[in-house]
Parts: sequence; C-alpha cells; structure tokens
Amino acid sequence: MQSFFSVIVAVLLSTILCSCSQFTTHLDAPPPNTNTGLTTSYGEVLSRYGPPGQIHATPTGFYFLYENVKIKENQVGLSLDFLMPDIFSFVFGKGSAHLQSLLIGFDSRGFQTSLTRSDWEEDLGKGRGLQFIFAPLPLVDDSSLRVTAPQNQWGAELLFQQDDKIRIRLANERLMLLGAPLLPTPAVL
Amino acid sequence: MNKALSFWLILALLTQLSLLSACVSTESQAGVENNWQYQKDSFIPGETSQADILALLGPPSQIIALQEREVFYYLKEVAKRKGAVLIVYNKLDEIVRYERAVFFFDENGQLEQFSISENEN
Repeated sequence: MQSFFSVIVAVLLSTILCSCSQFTTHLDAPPPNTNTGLTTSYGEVLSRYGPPGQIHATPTGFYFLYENVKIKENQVGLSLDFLMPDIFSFVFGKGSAHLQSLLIGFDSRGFQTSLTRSDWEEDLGKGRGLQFIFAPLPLVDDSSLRVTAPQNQWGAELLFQQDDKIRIRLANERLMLLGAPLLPTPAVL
Repeated sequence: MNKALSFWLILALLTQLSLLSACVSTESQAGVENNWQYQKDSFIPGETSQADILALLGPPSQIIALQEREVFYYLKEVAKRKGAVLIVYNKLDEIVRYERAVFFFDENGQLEQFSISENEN
C-alpha cells in the first residue's frame, strides 16, 4: 500500500514539477583586501593591486574603483500538463547579487586621501514566465548590474555627444551607491 | 504492477534525459586586442611617450584627463559561458574577465606610471 502511494506521489511530482535552473554570473575579480594608508601614492596602489576597474576624475583629484559583482538566479518550473498541452510550463525565478567594491581617492598630486570599502547583498526581485517548449533563460532583470564596461562605451559616447549633465548624473548615481563624494561640476569623461 | 509502472516511468525519464540533455559553452570578447601583455619591457617610465604607446598598442579604449595627468586605458572584456541543460536540472555559469592596461602620463606626455592586469590564461 505504501509503495502504491509512493508511486502516485512520484507521478504527481513528475507531472507538476518539471525542472529547476540556476544561473550565475561573475563580473570581474574581487577587489583587493587593501591596508594602504593615507599618503600612499597612486603608483604604489597600481603596483600592488593592478589597474582599477574604473578611473574617475574629480575637480580635486581622482578615484580608483575596484569592483566585483556576483549575480545568482534560481528558477523552478511547473508543468501545466493538466491544463494545457505539455508544451507550456510556468517558470518562477528569484535573483540576488553580491557586490564588493573598493574606492580609493587621490588628490591632484596623486596621494591617497580616502578609502571606502563596500560589501553588500542586493535582492534583484522575482520573475515569472510562461514558457513554450523548453529554454532555460534568466527571468530576473539584472540589467542594472550587467552594464558594458564604460571604457568600451567611451568612444561611442563621444560620437553621440552625450550631454555632460547626463554623464555627471550617471556618475553621481554610482558614487552615491558607494557613499563617495559627488561630482559638482562636469569633470568626468 | 506498481513495480512495473515505476520501472517504465524511470526508463521513460532516463530516455528523455539522455535525448534532450545538452552542454553549452560560448565565449565572447569586446574591447581592444591585448597587445600589452607581451610588450611589458617596452614601457619605461620617464622615457616612453604617449606617441610610443599609441604606436605599440593603437588607440586606447578610453582617454581620461586628470588635472596634472592624462591616462590611456586599454580594456579587453572576455565573457565565458558554460552550462549543462539536463531538463530536470539546468545550470548556466558566466564569468566575465577583464584584461586591462593603464598608462599615466605627465604634463609633458612622458610615461609616469603604468599597470597591467595579470593574464590568467
């Protein structure tokens, strides 16, 4: 009798629960675990930790940004065999991100003036989809974290003559997330 | 009867998995060609000029104007994706690696500092 119920449960589960998927994305290496103090020169920082992910100019100096992002999305697919033909299924996804960053500020002479480290988890939300046949695709919107490297967009930005105010606003949004001082004047390329 | 049903159920499942499962592996690149990795010895602070760097490596990905310096930033972006599609369980991983070279020049256009990321290949 027990085995009969086991088979029934197995059949029901195999009918309803059709799949689960996992998507992971690693963007760049983790930032260095730095102990550099004030008055360290930018040359020493470069030789110890390598090139930063981004370099921002400010009216009083410049910043190095080292950044690492890990994005994870888990999905569960539910079959709709009992409602529709078996080519459709419902898919539920939930995403999260782990962000690490290190922001080092320098004065105009190239000596370190500040160091800010950030490490936080971010809930990317949920996504639902009605799937036709089968195709494992991410459902959670992580486009805000999957931006193309700004260095690879720089030339195109020059061609399109993007408004300075927009670029400053974008840079300030990024700096605000990191708790760094904002840019008061159009000084970033 | 139950055993026979279980047997056929498992057999059908295994057959489906073996027919539909797949592996995925793709790679994409963006940015400039990594020519700096094999020319490290050519970069000498105080001697190498902006023109030398441009002649060796071509146009940079980005030029950044600092107050007392100018920076040439070269970047190559390599994204590798691997995955297993087993229908019941699917896993897709993407690793994006950046190969970088930054060159800081003084007001006279002479190389002041440079840094090149470690090549993991």
